[in-house]
Amino acid sequence: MNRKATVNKPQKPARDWSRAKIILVCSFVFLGWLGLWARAGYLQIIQGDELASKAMRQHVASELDRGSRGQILDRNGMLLAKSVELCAVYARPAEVKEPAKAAAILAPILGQSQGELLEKLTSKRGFVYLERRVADKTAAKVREADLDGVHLGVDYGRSYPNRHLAGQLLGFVNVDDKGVEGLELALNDRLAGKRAEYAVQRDASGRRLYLDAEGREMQNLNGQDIRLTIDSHIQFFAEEELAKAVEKNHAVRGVTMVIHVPTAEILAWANYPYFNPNNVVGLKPGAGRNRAAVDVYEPGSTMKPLLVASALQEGVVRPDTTIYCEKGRYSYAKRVIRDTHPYGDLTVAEVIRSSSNIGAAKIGAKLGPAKLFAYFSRLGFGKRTGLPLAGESSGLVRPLKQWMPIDTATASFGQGIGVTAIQLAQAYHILANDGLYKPLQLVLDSDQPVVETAPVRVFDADVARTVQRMMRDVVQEEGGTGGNAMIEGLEVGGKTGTAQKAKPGGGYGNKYLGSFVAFVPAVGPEYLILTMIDEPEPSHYGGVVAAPAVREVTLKTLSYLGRMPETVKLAKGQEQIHPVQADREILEIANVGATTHVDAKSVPDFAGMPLRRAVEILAKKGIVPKLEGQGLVVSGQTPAPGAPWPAEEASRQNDAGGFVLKLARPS
Amino acid sequence: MNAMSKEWGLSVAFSLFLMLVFGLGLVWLNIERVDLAYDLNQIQRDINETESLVAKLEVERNTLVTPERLRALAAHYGLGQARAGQIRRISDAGDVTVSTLTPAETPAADGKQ
Repeated sequence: MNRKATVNKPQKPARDWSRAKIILVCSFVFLGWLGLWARAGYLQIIQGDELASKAMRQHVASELDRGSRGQILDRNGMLLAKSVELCAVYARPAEVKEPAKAAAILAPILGQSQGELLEKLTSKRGFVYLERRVADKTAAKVREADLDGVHLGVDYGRSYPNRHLAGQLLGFVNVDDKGVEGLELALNDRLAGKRAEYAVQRDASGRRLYLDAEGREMQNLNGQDIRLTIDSHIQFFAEEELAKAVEKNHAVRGVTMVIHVPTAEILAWANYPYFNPNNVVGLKPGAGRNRAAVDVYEPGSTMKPLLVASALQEGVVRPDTTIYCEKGRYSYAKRVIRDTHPYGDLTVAEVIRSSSNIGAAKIGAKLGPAKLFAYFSRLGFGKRTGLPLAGESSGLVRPLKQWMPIDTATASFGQGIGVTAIQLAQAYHILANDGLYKPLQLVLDSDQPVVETAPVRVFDADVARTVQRMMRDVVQEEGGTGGNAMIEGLEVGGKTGTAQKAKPGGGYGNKYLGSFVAFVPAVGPEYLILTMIDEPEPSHYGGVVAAPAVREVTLKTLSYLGRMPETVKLAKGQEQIHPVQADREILEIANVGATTHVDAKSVPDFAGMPLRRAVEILAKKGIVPKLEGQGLVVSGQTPAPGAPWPAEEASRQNDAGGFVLKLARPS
Repeated sequence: MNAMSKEWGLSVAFSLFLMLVFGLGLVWLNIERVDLAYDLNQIQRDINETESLVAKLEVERNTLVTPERLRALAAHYGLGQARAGQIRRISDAGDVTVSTLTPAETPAADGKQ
């Protein structure tokens, strides 16, 4: 019964929790999911910008980059200045474990005293430069020393491979590669590399990763290269001869310029004493001064051709107009003007040739102060030339209303007026260029847009040519003051200048400026050469101290350009060759030589053959013959014709001695 | 209904698989990108070093051909400046060119013409 009852008792149904569990789990998941979404929303929407900027700071770094400074080249592409990557030695003093030991090791490497280095290494600053712009060898030694806290970084340095060549003209840069003097300063905007800031990604260890298209290579940050009109070789000749002239005449300094007249390009710009822009540490004040553009001189007698050209242009005198030169002493406006010789009557041409101050003063008086002042202005005196020259002086020409009567006279022979060497060169260039003003050029690839302007004529061409001929007489004619510049076979024109220098306190002392301006050739010149020698002693005459230097510069320049005059008197014992005759003979011989048969197996007969052709044949065989005698035609040879060719090795060992060509003038 | 569920299941599985593939692909691309950036950095350093070396060599080359050094070398080998009458340019045709700087015209300083 009980069992039955037990069996039949209905069981309490089991509660099904699965649904609740599922709902609960789903709820938890949903809540978790909702929480994540809420958190994500909070991070993205509420804190999004702030966190993004924080992430950006962590992953992206700003990098400042600067392009390298442009090169300065001469007209032939020779390097005059270039920035190169050097090393900087720096220290983080906090990381230096043994400063005294480090200082002792670094002192001989860096060429500094231990005390100086110790002071830097124990500095409280976080970063200190020990030395900048060190050479690779020094950097290697520092790297080898492997000192804690001492590091090597990149630094840029400016190198001038020609050392002092055109040093003052080029100028120099500071440690930040910024121009400080000369063209480096004047053309700094073009030369300097541009700066740019980049956002670069960085990894956990801080390494920069250039990932985007805004990489450095996308922009050209480098500064522009600049090509000058200067020719390194002509510059070298000018500096060499200027140095000789300054030293020989015990002068303090000097300037030489060479200008190509048709193009107005400055080929040489020499200052002496030299200045080496590679080494500007402890530079003496004024050592890097570009005196040809900055220093103002009274030009002295070099003013006379310009005065005469002005007077001829105005028609107040003619070349044969006679001027009475007062026997060397002339009282004018309560002053006495003197000549070095007691000249009487001189023509205008003779006034230039003899360099008469009195004659010049009288021509100036005929011209009058207003016209003289106007011509000074047209010639460029009293204003800058417009060349890219740092600190260029505008010279010293007083306003016309301040001129006293004596000023017209003194200005006529180049006293009482101040000009720079480059201004004087510019004025003479007008005379050399047949009276047309053309601005001098120093940079070949100027960034200035070419503006075609009507040429400014200062003098008529025939006036300029007349004065050129007068200047020729200064050099070529007996009694001319510039005889020392004479070059046989070539007519050189010129004008000497010997100016008394003004004392700082006023008046004139016993210091002089000797100068010489030359035209080569004299009439229709191609080259203008100017030399100024400052304070020469004991002789101070331009014709003595400056003219020989101009002659040597001219000879070397013409030789370098392959344009030496043909009929110059040769050294004793050398035969003078008339060019026309020689050329005819060479042509005749060349025609004969062209048909000469050359047997490849044996030595041909070179007799009667032009030297050039014989040398060509031998050169093809690797033989450099020795030449005996004078002339351009082969008259004999060793080995004899028909002999076997010298063995290559034997020929090399014998060098020139292995094959001899005897030369003779053709009969 | 069962067929629909199966299709859904397959779609979800395929989608998850694609997401996994894309995710892994993205990670792989990122790793490659960073590796490439390191390589680029190294190449850039090499380029910079080479350019620096080229610049130094260029300066060195120019130092070797300065007029001053050429003069010293010329003197060493017995060479010197050409003197008057020593320069001739002979073309292949045999034409001879002498100095182009010829003496100027006859003196005639006689005033305006």
